Amino acid sequence: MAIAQAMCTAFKQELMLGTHNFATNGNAFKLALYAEGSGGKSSTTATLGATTTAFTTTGEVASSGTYATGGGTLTKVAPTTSGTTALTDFADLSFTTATITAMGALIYNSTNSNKAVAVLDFSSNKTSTSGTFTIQFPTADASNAIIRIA
Amino acid sequence: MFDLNVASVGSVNVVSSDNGGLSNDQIADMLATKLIYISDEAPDPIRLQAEAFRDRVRNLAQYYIELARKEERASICNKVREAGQLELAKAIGRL
Repeated sequence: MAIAQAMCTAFKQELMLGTHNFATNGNAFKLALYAEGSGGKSSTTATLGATTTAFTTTGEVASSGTYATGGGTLTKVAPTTSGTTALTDFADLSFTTATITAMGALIYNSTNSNKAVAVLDFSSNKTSTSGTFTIQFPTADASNAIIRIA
Repeated sequence: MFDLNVASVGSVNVVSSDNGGLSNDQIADMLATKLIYISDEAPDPIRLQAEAFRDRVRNLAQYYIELARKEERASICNKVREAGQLELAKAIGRL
């Protein structure tokens, strides 16, 4: 599969190196959308997974509506804990008046050399036509939060 | 020794629309999904009760989202009418 959901391996290492700061006044994180097949810019296909180390324009969807190359900035929710699990969350992200077909997304740290955090696989193509494209993050708890370390 | 048993990525929900913004139903579904998580592994009686509660919350949310949009349109309509744009005010009122 060209887009496979994963927490990027490099990100796990970088956590130990203190590269990423998810505090609300910490680093800036962005979410970029990707296509498989011919949906990306210049008909490129995204290949994203655990081995992804940084943001790439290969396979990224074209700018449309409020979606611009590089993706949208995520609004962070301060990291917290639930039981023995540490977790962090983001506010839902919407792109409006956009014509988009995307199969997945990459969360990356735009403060620190666009280093990759996680790959999201939508399982199937999601499409908006002159409409709204919203990414709703899961409930921020120990079982579902977008980024969890147990 | 540190032993990180699990480092996981949650599953996102993508909601999209064509030729306009999200509908009241879509937004109500988003709210209910995020507000009330029900485990697939929960015992049937608990799961069914939780699902019924989530449906009620979803329907209530849908009603108030619709009301909020309607009231906001009414406020916009009034401002546009005050500005002398009567035809535009009518068009907004018909939404």
